[in-house]
Amino acid sequence: MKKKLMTISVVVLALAVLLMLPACAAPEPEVATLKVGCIMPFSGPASPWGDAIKPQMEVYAELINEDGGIEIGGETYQVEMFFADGEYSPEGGSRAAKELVYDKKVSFIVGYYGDGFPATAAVTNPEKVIFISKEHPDFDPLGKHPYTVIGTPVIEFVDTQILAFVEAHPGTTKVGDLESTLVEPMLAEEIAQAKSELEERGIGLVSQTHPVGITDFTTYLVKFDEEGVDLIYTWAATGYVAMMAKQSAEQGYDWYLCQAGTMLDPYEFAEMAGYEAAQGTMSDWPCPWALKKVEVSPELLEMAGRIADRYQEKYGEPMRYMGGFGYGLQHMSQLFAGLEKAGTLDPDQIMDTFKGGTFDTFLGEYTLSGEKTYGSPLVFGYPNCLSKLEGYEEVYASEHPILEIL
Amino acid sequence: MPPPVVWMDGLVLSSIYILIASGLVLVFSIMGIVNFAHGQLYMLGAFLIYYMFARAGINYFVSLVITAVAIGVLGVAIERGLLRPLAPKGLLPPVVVTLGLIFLFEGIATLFFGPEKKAVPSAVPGVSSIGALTVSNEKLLVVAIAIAVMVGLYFLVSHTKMGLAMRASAQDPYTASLYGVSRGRILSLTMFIGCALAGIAAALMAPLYYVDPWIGLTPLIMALLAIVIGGLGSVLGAVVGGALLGFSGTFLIYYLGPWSELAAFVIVIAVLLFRPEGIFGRPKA
Amino acid sequence: MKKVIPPAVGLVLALCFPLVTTDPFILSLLIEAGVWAIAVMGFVAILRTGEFSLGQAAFMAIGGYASALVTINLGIPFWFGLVFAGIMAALVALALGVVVLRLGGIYFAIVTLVFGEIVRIVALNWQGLTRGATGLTPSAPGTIHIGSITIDFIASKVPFYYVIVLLVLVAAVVFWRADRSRLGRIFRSIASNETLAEHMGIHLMKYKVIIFVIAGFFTGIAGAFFCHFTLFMGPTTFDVWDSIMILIMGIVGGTSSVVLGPIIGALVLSAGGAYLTSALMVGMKPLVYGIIVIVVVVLLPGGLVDLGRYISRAPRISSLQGVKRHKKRGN
Repeated sequence: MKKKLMTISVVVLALAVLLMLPACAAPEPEVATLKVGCIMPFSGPASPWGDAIKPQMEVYAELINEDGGIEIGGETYQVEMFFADGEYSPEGGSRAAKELVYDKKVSFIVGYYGDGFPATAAVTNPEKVIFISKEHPDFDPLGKHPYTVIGTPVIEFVDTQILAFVEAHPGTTKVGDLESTLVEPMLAEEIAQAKSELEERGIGLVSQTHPVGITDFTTYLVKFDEEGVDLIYTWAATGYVAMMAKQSAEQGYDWYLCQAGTMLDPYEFAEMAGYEAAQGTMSDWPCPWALKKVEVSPELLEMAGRIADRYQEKYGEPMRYMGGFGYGLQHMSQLFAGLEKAGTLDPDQIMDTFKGGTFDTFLGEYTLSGEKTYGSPLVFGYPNCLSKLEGYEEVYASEHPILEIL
Repeated sequence: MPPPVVWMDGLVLSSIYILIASGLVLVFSIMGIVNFAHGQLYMLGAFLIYYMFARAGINYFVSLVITAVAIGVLGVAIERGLLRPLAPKGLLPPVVVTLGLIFLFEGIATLFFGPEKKAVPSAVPGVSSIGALTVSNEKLLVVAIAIAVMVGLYFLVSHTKMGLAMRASAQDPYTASLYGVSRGRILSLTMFIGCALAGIAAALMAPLYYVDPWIGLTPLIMALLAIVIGGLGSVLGAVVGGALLGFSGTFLIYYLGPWSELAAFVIVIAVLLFRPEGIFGRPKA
Repeated sequence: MKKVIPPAVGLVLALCFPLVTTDPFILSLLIEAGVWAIAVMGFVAILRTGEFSLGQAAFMAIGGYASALVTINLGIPFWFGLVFAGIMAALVALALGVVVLRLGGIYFAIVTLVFGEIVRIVALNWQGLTRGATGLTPSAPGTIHIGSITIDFIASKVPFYYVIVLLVLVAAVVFWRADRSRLGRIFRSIASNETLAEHMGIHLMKYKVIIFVIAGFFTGIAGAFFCHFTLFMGPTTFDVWDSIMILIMGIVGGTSSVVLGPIIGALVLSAGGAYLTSALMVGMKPLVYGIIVIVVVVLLPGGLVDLGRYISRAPRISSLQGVKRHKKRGN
């Protein structure tokens, strides 16, 4: 009996402690604060991205608060960040949005990293919480989602991105596009457009789709080789791109490998693919201070430098992942610029300011307007550059020619 | 006919499925339960190889042996500490515990090793050309070791006293015990060998691909399918099932693209409809 | 009469809960827990016939897609979508059950797992119908006007809450009745001896299939409800992990009762788990779940539902030995 009693008390105690812990959260600060939420994957295979961007965003908020905060309509606000685990799934995004909106009472959600935009917007819109997200085919600013902003127009520029990679590699005759079944339907339209644009230039494009979770791409690469492909474009996460690089090298294929994103950690990428195989892999690198052509406001350039410095100071290692400047940090800069300009916290007025407005952000000047999606903050002149892996570093390769194309 | 590279790739995939599936089936044949955490043991093995070979710089083959032994010992600890005490309560509790271990091991790996993908360098760098076939030395090594291990396993099970005791215990534990076969020792031994096979598979695969806390799921599902195709309880069945899945996987990718994923599952359904006990399984009494 | 009191008290408490709080975060957690509770009841009901399903989430996916597709493409109201979802899932369960319940044991577990993967792969690749990974965006139920009363499913979570309470209630009554039916009782009393059952002319298979179909019906409805609640339906909305979660909720809650255990399991792991991990351990959910499962199976083999009985020193009954227990009682 004693043993039983012990067991019961242990189980009950453990449950009680687990349930009590959340109650011990810190009391609310009394300064006027802007509550900004952020949904990113913190569990599961996509969590390295969440883990990489979160500290950068915290550092940015910290620096803003040290500088006195954000001034909105004559009053200054401190920024308070809340992070929730979106698990890189629509359900996870929905749950995280509920937690941030209903429980943490945030007024804005930024830095969404995941592909479940509709489920997340379904929570934020009725509450008029402004949601700055990555692009999604279901984005509907005039109907269902009036309080959403596309902060990172990744899909819109797939065709120009492909053209940019092709221009960086003169002599390309055929592009091979290799996507997982998870992203293929999202990109289909843009890939078709890229195909026709390439055909005008006498360049072919073939697409292949692979199931999620495979690590051996050899068979797909063999088929590309049979097709005579000399440049591969992919949206795959950087770990899979490393596999493609490695397996290409094993077969002696010397095509150019180009990824839509950027490397989480160039060193680990080179290790994973094999040093020789990894060399020359190109990424789309949204790092502003390496760009000469794109004008980024001096204050934000300085801030970008301070973020990197503070990050190194705080974590004892250099800030390697630069994609944050295209996601979380970028969305924060968009939000703060919009708020300062609107001079109010009223969501409707903020959205009015966003529509058609021009703002300074980490990636340069953003104009949030557009005829085809009026009210949608589609960006014209998404100022990226391409990078190339040299040794263990991602270095500046060439200007993103989107500016000229548009 | 697909080009030789595709055949080679099928052989590499088959090797890994066979190693994992035969470990799983060995444990099933003696204990009567499917260890759903088998894939996560594979994952932990891959991390061991990463820390020993890639980080500490210990010789690859030494690391491989240590990994196999360590994962085997972990398996024995699971068997003695969790599965055996639960055995009298029926088949369900031990199975549920192995499902719980999936979450536990993935959680521990995320917490202590981190969620980032990790690279294990090649033990035998370079590429070989055999006629029209170009293949990395690493893949050749994987296939060679896998074949050696499976041959070793065959001799162990069918030509040694230990193997005889295992087979006897699998067929009829009670009678086997009358002949002096200790059930407890056989259980531990089987779990050790089965999990060590997962460790070997991990050590072979880690340099080919990468290591993260989630690499265990796909091999586990493929191994489950392989043993259903081959027949639960038959190591030979696991070999045939693994090879069937490995080769059909790469061939169908070559011809069908993403729908190839479905093929493995359709094969399983077909086998179960027409020969429910699997190709090499014993029909139910 | 005595037996009716505890469930009635539970129901009244559930119905009165929105008077305590209408906080949408808490209600959302409870609504999701309700969805899982229904699915877990189905799993436990099947388990009590001696079969171990690892593919229950597939029925949620079928229900979710069925409802999302007919409401979006044909403009049929949510309520009919819900029923249609149940019927579709039940039909699939019938077809699958007739074929694979014959196999039984571990084969059944693996085939249901395989079935779940097939549903996911088909949903992912059949883009013409399902839009693949982009997913479908079903809408919330339309606003209802009854006289001067307006029920708005978007402005508040309360209507959703009452709908799920009602669905849980209906499912609970049906599963409880099926479990206590003459067939159900006979089944459990002889399930351990199939030869005896054959001699008695009892169609074990028939009962198993009936339970499997009922479970499919309600699991499909639960899936449909969930997708109209989160307003999204995709190939990974209900996948193999969700099937495993259903199983874990069932075991943690306890399988000695077909209603109470699943409700407790779903509340503790779905609502409690979400609350815990959001509040203090971002990204630690798998670890916490793993520990809970192992601790419960090892220390509390009857599941949490047995905690009360355990404390009151009543004879300990392992839910996982459900079959044996009923045999004893029958004597």
